[in-house]
Amino acid sequence: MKTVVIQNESGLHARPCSHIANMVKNVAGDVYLIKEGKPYNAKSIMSLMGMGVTKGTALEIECADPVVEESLYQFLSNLSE
Amino acid sequence: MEILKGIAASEGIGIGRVYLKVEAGPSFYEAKSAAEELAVFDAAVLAVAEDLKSLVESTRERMGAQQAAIFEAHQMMLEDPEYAGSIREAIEGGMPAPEAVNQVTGMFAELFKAMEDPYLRERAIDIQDIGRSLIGVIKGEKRFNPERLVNAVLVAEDLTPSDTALLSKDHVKAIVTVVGGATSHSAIIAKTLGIPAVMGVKEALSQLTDNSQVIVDGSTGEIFCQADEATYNAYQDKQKQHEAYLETLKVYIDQHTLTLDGKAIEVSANIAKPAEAKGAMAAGAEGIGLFRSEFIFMDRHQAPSEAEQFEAYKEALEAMAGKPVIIRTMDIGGDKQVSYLGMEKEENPFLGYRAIRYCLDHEAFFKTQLRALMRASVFGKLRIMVPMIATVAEVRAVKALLEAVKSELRSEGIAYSETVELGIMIEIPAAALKSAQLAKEVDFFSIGTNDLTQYTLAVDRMNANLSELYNPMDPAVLSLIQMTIANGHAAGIWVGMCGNASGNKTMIPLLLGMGLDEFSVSPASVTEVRKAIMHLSATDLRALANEALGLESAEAVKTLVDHWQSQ
Repeated sequence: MKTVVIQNESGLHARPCSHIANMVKNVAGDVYLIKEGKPYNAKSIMSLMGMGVTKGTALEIECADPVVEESLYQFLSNLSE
Repeated sequence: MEILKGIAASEGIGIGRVYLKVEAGPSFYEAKSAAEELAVFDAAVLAVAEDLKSLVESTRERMGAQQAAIFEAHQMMLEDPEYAGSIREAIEGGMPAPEAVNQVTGMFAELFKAMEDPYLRERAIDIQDIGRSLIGVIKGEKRFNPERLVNAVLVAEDLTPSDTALLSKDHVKAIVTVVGGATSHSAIIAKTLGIPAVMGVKEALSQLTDNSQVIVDGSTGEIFCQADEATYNAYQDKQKQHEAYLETLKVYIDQHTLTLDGKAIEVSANIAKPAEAKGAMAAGAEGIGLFRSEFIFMDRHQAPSEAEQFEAYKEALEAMAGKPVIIRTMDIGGDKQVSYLGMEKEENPFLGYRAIRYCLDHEAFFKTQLRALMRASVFGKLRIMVPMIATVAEVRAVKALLEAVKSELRSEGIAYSETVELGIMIEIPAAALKSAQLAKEVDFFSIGTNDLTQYTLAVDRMNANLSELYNPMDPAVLSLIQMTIANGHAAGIWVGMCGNASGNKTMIPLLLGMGLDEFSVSPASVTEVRKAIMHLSATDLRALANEALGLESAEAVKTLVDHWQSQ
């Protein structure tokens, strides 16, 4: 499981959330982002936006597929406006 | 026959059937078995998805990718596994479909409303929007989709930007609204699209019945219900005449505007969105005289980034293919508000903290716009215009910021054009009175008559009780216009006008006589104004303009010009 700290000024707004949901929507099995121990469905834009991620929030990525996990990690670490 | 009266907001005659755009109230719904309710819900998701798909496509085409992104987010929310999943679960548990949608939508909306981030808090509106569409389809209520209308007269309380996004003359023959006036957002859109409109018709929603035939005269502000045959025929003739007249104007599309005495005039167009530049070009505009950049800042939850702004400005510049494009820097405050700027409600917003006054206090915010503008400048002929200037110091502050932006760009190796002209709007009487001093600082003036009139006469242009006092033909306003043009020319700069007055048939001869160089009007008026100018001689009109300045009232000025025109 990988952990990433969000550096983006505005946290996770609609655009990155929709990007993430699109990235994982066809992945077999569940994909979760975990914030403070609570899992959020990464296939759901509503659930992602509902996390309330701000700059500095640490997220864990839970995904059975290591390739998808890595691309999520890359995307979340390189977020910019 | 019954006649309703309102404010004439966009010229022309529209005949069609009333489409009442009203918020649906609660209605009776008969629930069926869980399996059937589930099928009803799935069908509703498909129908709403279909609507959103066409909304995304036409919004992208008409208003650009940024606006379309809002509806793309709606698409994703609609197909969201958590949202749709929770609704399905509730239906499987025996809840009727509309109630299930309502409850789950409410739950998600509450969740968002409780969030700290103001942007995410406002997403509750999007979710409620989707929930409302779903329930509307499930209950079989009609959905508002202007692309499906046929020969419609659209009647509404007011029109939101998302309502107007899909409007076109092919489907909507006229617009009638309860609120708004000749300078409201809806009126500007109607004029841009060439759809006749009457606004401020208080009894519109109660007096007009769905599907009944009406005649709307956007030139007089009259609406005829249950017209008798004679009236109907008369207006049909009038409409044909108007269309034939518009046809005769087409020869003016490709012409350069020259007065009878050989003075070259620029007739350009006012636009609010980059996508409208194409329409302005097709209408024969010699440039964009006013691109109201604030519309990029409105109807959203955070300020547009430099990249987004750059794309919008670039789109407008490229569409005009080398013709000049005047982009006005953000003019928010007064009657235009956006939530994320955190402006406080003011007692006198028109005399308050708005436009350049706000921008100079928020340097980083203003510099983002200037950077985006300068970066876009290599894609066409850009002119930057600053609104609400009252002092020379303000102009110097803007110039200093612009220089700072240029040197930043140079050090970053980003290209920009060295020939961008910088101008200011003359809309505050103090600026007109100091136009000699201001002219030394800038490359051009553009007179904003809407605000200049209201500030000179101390008349709130939104106040319907004062509409008789509000008149740009008042000799006081004319004197300020004349002074601005004369001082501009003395300093060797050109002077244009982007207020409503520049398209006014009585004002055109006076403005030409005073020496105005550029007339910026709504795209639909370009050819008409060009035709008027090409039949006049600027030199001959000097005496008329001088005579008007000495008259006692706006009425006297109108009588003078009318009399002169009838000769």
